[in-house]
Amino acid sequence: MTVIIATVRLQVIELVRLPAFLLPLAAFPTMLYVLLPANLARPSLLTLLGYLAFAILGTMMFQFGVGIATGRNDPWTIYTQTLPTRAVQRIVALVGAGIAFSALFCVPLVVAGSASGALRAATPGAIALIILALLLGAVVHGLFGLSLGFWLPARGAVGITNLVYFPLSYVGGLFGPVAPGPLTEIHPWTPTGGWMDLLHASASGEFAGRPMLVLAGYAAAFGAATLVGYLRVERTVYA
Amino acid sequence: MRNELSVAWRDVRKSFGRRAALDRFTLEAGPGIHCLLGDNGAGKSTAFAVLTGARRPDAGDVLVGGERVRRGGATARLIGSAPQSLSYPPTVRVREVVDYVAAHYAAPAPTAAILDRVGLTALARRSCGGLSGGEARRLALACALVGDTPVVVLDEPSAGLDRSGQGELREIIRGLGSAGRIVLLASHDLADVEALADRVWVVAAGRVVLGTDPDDITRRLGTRRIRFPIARAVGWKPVAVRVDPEAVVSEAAGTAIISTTRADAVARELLGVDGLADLTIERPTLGEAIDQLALATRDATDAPA
Repeated sequence: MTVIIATVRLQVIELVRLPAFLLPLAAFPTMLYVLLPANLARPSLLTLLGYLAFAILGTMMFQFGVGIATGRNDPWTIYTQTLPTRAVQRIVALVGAGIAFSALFCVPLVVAGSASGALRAATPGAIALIILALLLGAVVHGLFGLSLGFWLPARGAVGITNLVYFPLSYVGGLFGPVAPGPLTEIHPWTPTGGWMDLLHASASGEFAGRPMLVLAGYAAAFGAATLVGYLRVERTVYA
Repeated sequence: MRNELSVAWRDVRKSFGRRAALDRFTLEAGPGIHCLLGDNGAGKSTAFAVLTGARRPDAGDVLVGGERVRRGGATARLIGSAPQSLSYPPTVRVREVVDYVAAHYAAPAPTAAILDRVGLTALARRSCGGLSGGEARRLALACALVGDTPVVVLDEPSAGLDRSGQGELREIIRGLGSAGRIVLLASHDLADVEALADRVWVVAAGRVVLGTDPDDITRRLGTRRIRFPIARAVGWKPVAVRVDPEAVVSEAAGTAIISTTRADAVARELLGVDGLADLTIERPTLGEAIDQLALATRDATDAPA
């Protein structure tokens, strides 16, 4: 446990002092939310939840997908992997750090949403469920980001991550309901789609069996990909 | 800390592409200070990397206390290491790096005490991005020491340190050795070897070619080279061999070269040789001494029985 806490702490203090990392991820989702007139003119909890999910997804994709892929051959990273710790501990710590940053990056959105009145209709119970759903989605997409980080080549990481990030945001309905058509069929089975469906259900206090199962399936798949990717990095990149 | 641990490499092979960094590397070390000597690329850093788990050997066994090394496994708790090319996250502070490393060990030394020991107390709050080369080396040493481990691996620890820093470093290493730890030290600095080593291992082409004590190295380094132009010198060879029958005599580009442990006596006699002038006596460099040792050992190994 000490190692996990120490790793989360180091990740947080390393990145929190890097404005170039912090500012875009903190500002981009909030800017989009505020600049699109409809969001403030017709404040909606569901719209705000989409943007919160978008902020978390961006954190996980870029902190892990790009960050790990580009830094995994760094002497410091190699050194830290020789310290006495297990793969699972490192993975848990990395996801933990991602959740910490996600929470931080959600703050300006929550402030903007409150100011616009988007949170007015939410009951304390619904807010608790929403937080749990956001957390669950953060873990699933944190593992997604990690698996990209351990599998993507360093040079192509930014491009490929963008290629995943924006389409997934759209098909998941993070910017609003998906337009009727083939994408609506795919939507519930994508990780972002399952997440948004869970968030919608949480907001209305309903039980969401299918989205839970979809997210659990992705958690298992991304978790396995992360673990195998981590071990692969040990065997190949550092070998 | 007294311990009966040993670390061992047994027939370890490690290649990077077609280049064999380790080729049947075999070494066993118990408590004390072990200096690994060898040219750049000889395999010292790779030997350390497979010991700490940073690299995986292609073949052979690397053992600490009889247990095989695995990255991040149980053996890692016994090893504190300062790799040669350790860099740090630039925004993290010196104290935070040491705290982080300390969190991985069961009974680490207090961070403040370690920073004091390596002379970094005044820089504890400085960001790693602002450290000089020497300060970064001190921080690497702090990382190696904070776990309070029975095995300490130091790869070129004095590189980039000023003279006072080198003196302090030697005191620290000497302290570790006398406390019964296994200290594995790679260095190009002959002074380090002479001042510290209980055992010297000469590494060449990915292999340990000689394990010996520092006295042997010193004796071999006691060999001097006498050099003079042959031009008008007559009958110098028998004179040299008569004074030192073990002298190695060679000629190159019109220059006579005599390697001898009795340089003063040989030179005195040679000065009486007709036509001999411009005689100089040279001490071999550490690199040459290592080459001599490596070659002598290889010749002995390759010689038909």
